[in-house]
Amino acid sequence: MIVILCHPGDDAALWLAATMRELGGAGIELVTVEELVYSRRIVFRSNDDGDSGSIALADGRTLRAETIAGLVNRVSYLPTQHFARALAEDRAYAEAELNAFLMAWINGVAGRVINPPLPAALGGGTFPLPTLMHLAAMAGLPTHGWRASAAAGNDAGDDATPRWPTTHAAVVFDSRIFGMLLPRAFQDGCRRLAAMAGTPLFQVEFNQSERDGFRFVGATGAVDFRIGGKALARDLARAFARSAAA
Amino acid sequence: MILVAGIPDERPLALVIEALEASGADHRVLDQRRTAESDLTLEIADAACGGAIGGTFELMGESIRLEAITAIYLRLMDHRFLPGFADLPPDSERRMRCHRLHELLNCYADIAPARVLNRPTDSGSNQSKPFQAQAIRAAGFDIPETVITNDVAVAREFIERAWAEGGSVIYKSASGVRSIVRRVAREDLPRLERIRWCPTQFQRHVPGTDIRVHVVGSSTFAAKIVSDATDYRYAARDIGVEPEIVACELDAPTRAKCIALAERLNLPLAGIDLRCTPEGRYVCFEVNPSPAFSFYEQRAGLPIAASIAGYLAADLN
Repeated sequence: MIVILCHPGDDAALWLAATMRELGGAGIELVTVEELVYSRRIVFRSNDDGDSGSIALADGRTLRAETIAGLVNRVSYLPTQHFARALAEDRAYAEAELNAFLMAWINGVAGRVINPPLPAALGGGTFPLPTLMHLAAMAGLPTHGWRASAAAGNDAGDDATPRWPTTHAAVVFDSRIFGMLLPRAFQDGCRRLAAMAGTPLFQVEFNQSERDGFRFVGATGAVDFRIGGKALARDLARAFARSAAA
Repeated sequence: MILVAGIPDERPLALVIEALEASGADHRVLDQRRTAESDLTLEIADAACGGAIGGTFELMGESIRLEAITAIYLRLMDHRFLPGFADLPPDSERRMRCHRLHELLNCYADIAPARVLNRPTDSGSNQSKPFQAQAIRAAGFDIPETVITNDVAVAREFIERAWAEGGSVIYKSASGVRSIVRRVAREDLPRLERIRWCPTQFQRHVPGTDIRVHVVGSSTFAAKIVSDATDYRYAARDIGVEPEIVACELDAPTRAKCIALAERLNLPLAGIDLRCTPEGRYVCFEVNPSPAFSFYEQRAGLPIAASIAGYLAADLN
């Protein structure tokens, strides 16, 4: 079973599921994060031998971490509507507990997880802008400077420099580039950036203008698979197959 | 220069500052309670300059270039609860500035070309104990048998099986939220219904002696804790007897595994909770990325603060 774990309305994930099936993929299961965390029967066991357990979904499907051959991780937030009526302190505790469980569950599936969760981001592949700017510059991508100050009213997600819209986006997966054709040097830079960020699947975004040429705008692990098209879907399927065979 | 950030009279931070003063290492202290008098400007240079990290820390009237900072020790309290800030309305400028400064500081500490104890992102593994347990197991330590569930029958079976085998089960938070470890008693069983709301962590109790290992770079400091309490941190309150804490030696393989585990988690400073079973097996419970080492240093006479100061000062010359 290959699980595409996403939120409702994630068009890119829906496209990926349909395309992987069209390409002949069997056992592709779309599972929403909401279905998973609202499950009435969650069992996660852990001991010296590994992790096991099951999650019974409301539609009758059962997820067993030890039988999942691959998981596409599209978690962008933790659904906690079921705690809405709890006291603030209890709610905060329950959210932290649910987050702790979900991080371990995603990380513990038997097959490959793309992208693996990070403590700061369940979906993996999310970084503050200054971190991205720093890594992208070191990777050789055309970055502009970034500056923020607490007194000036900027935080790490903000800065005083102008934002440019994305005109070009490429997807890196396991060092292969998909999507728009970029100059060779930038392709290499995208690969280096993904490697430095420790994110095997990474969407790297640029702005191109006549005056300034290419500018790095940002990068995210929440990839729009449609940019990479069928070639990307095929590579993901192959990566899961290799991981299952290993 | 070494930057130390937190509450200066909080014991672990105070001991590190004391050790830095004793060694004569050039250092500055950011008192979190006085962030309104501080400012942080973070700059990332453009590609032509290789994305170099620069900026300025305005600290108690002194302007410090970030490029001059060679090491950082962070022991930050949750800034939302700092005295002088906690009661302010969420949109007050003073509170928002405090928030922004902490955001920038954490971001800077994550990417600073400096020795950092510990980088905030790497400290996050402790937010999920089962996630951390996966790394602990991969590092070669045994872990306690655990079930996290919202199914009452599963929890009950886990508990009753332990009882039938002459053992017991404890429950504690799976997240980084501090909780007191409690043993499940028969009178707790009716309360199991409450786990339906949220998956809850149960662990098979591991008999043995608690050992806290502090890793500082490639140095280790081990202390044995003798206590009859389920959670020795609360022994005085729970059983009326303070735990006895004494320095101890680890065997070489266990010491190496502790260092490897801290390295795997990218934590040059780590507080590792072990229990040595009567059979001599080491079971690892968790790794604390911001250990309150003073508790062990003072009781067991371990020079942990001096070691931290030495680690921080290593690149000064």
